[in-house]
Amino acid sequence: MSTVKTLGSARRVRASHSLAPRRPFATTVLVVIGLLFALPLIAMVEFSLRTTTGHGLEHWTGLFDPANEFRYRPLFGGLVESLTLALIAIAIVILMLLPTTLLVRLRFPKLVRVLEFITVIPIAIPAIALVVGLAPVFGASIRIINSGTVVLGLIYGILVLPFAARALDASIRAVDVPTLVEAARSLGASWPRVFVRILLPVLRRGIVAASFISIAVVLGEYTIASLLNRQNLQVAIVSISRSDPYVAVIFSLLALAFVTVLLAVIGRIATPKRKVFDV
Amino acid sequence: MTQTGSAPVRRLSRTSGGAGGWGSAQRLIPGLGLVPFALYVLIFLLIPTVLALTTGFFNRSGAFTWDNIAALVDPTVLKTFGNSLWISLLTAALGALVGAIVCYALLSFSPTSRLRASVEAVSSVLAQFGGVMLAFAFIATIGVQGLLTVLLKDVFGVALYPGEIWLYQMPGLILPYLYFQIPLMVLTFMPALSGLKPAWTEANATLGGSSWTFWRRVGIPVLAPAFAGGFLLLFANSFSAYATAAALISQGSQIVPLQIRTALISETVLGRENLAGALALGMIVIMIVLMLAYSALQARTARWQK
Amino acid sequence: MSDPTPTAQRSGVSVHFRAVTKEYGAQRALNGLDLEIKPGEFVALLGPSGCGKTTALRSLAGLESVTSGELLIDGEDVTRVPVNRRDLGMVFQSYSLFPNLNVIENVEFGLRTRKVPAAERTARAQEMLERVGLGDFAERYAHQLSGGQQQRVALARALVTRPRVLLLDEPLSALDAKVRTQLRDEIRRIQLDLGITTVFVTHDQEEALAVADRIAVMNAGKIDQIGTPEELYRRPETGFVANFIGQSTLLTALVHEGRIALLGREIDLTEPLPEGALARVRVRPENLALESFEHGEGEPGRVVTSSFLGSLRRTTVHLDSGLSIVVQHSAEDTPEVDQQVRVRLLQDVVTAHVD
Repeated sequence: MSTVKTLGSARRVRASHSLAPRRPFATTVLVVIGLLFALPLIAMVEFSLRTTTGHGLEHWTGLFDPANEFRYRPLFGGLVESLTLALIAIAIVILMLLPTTLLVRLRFPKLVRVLEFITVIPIAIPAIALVVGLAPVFGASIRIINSGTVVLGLIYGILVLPFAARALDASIRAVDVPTLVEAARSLGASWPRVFVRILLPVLRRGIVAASFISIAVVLGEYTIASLLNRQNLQVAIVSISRSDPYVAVIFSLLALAFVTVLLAVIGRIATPKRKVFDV
Repeated sequence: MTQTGSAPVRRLSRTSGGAGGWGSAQRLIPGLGLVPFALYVLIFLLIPTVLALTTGFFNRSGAFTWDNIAALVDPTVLKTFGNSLWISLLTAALGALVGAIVCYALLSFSPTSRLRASVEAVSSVLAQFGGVMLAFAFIATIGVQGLLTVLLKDVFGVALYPGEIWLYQMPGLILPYLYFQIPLMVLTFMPALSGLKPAWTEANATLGGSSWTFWRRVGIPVLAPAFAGGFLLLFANSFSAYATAAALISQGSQIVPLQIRTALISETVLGRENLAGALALGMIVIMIVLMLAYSALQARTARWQK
Repeated sequence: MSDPTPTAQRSGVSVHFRAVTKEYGAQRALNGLDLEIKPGEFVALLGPSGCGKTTALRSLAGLESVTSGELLIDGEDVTRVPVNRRDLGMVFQSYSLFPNLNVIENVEFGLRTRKVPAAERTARAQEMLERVGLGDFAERYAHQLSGGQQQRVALARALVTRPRVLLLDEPLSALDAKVRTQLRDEIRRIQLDLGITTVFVTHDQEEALAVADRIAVMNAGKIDQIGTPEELYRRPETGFVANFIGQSTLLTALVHEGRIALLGREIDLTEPLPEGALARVRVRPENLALESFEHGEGEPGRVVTSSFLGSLRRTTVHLDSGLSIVVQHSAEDTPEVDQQVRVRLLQDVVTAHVD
């Protein structure tokens, strides 16, 4: 019954109703798990710096050494191929998925669920299982389109559907598209004009986010490309890893860094600006 | 009397018929706008899906056969499915548990703190960090010449691989898989955990409950569906992962995705021509079961959720 | 400490705040708060947001630890007793029903933690649900109830354990106006029935005036004035209280021979003020009368607005002296905007302050 209160008792009064764990416990958990997660990344950097005598930038500089050009050609070829595939996937997102999503929202609200269902299928069906059905379609399409890159790009357009659709959907929900369109139409704008002058600017954030997530997915794709015998970035990394594991690790690091930047930008544009309080 | 009465009715019906005709014409043109996407999805998603589900029922010459499907109960195939399920179960359980602990630790920091924002950002990157690159990260860490392997040997005199090198075997998948499972759980579970209202814990306390009372009677029951949902998502994620395993394991087909690879590359596996189709069917069936389980779970908790 | 005796209803206990201070870093939410609540009394803590009223309630509940001072319940020092052993019932501003439990399970929650046998638990919970008028809602879940119903269940849940004190933290502020008044009166009725000591936090003066035995008006972590609703309304001791309770207009006048001149009249003061001081007087709309410009008495001015309030009207007049004043009068007089009128004081004695 003393009026002198110790810190300990004050904390006990808190503990019985506070959800949060004690700060020291929380910090310990996060530091330990954070270190465990940092370890493979640190190991990659360390591995890429190994030389025959110790550590150095040999492997990094060697990447741009003309003497190695022939050796690394498949790798850069794979990079170009993956970037091309990403462009095709983005084109599909903007030219097919976006107009269809808008059309469904504006004119065929009953089909919204159907579209949602379709865009989720590529997640539900594992790529390794889908590739069994994709192989004959790839074989048939290539006879018509005559470009393996384009056909694979079309397939990647499907792979990015779940991610891109969600990004687009979020930005479409954020604004009242039907009202905007009605307003523009009532002022006499034609449909193409509405699309280019109103919807594209308004949905800019969603389109950028959808494009970036598409790049991230395409740059990391290995399953389908390798089983359809296409040389994209990941396939090239795997094949070079047998002769030069250092370069494989360097390219993995670079790809990871690039994807991190893409996702960071998405995070930045996707969340509306809010006040941040530091504690 | 009847004539004058019926006149407006007839006029009304004619008008509505006319409007209907005009309406369908009005719908037809925008409807055409759906055609390209529909065709695209048909060719590159629906047909491949149907093919993946059905090729197992046919042989190379296109004749119907139960032969491939029968292979699903071949001991070798059953073993790979067993392996796949086991590794998915293990990494989903560990991932869900550790992920939930990370989320719980994060509760100690304000939702608007920089720490929480960065953990969420890092998680979204690492959850995507599957595939080949992840395999290399672990080869660089715990491969034969990996940083940790060398450190353990040189500094502590501990051999990470006293016997065989398990990184390139099935157990080697566990750590890499956890590397994307834990962040995925953090992303899925954090919103649910932050959804616990302070008023609930305060009400519990004023009603005489301890911390344990709260978790047992309110916290855990409220979070259980989100936790189970996260677990199923993680399970499906592991189950369908291919690239990491493909880059790590070059010998043998210990899990289903690797067996599909073998079946696609070689002419015949277990003396069968379209085994890949049967395996794909098996995988898809399991994925559908997982999704049905997920929606059953949602329905069960719907009685107290909006 | 918890008393599960199922027999007679316990009568209220006393509550004391003794020099309670609560600091959040450099900020003082409570600044030496002293408050004595008598057994069975219904006290409202009233004040604007940030005045410390919620902190005071949460400190009493044990949800906040205090920096210094003592909290006594029934004479017992509970300052260091953890919240779950203080034996209090609390209703929160935000809906706090456990979503995974149905209504009756929610109400039984506190009885379970007190290890009351199942049969008695259900009987008591059901009885309390009847008392709040939700006897038929036992099997529902929180999301199937309206806001008002949820707060009734929360009230039943808080009361079913027969706590020593009932704490209400703005329980009505999330509800719409009609439900609010209804539930407010019901809370008061049940409180009187049970005779339970109750502390009610609110920022709504009308709510406090309607239900409380006494109101403590809080300002900057302290009590500015405590008294019955009538005392606070009629004799506010500080400008803050006068401003916060009821509507009023602030007038200033010079003290001359123990009197002041207000609206063209010489008025007596309740307490004498020094000669030549500038006195501040708060005048309520109902103590003023609207008179005709030509024939009436009082200070002249022009009508700015006039609003119809059912049985009466409130008219804002811009006095020629430059001040705006609100007058309450019969709804039968309907002054027009810009009409010239006079405003007369009906009181002979006023309470004035010198700052």
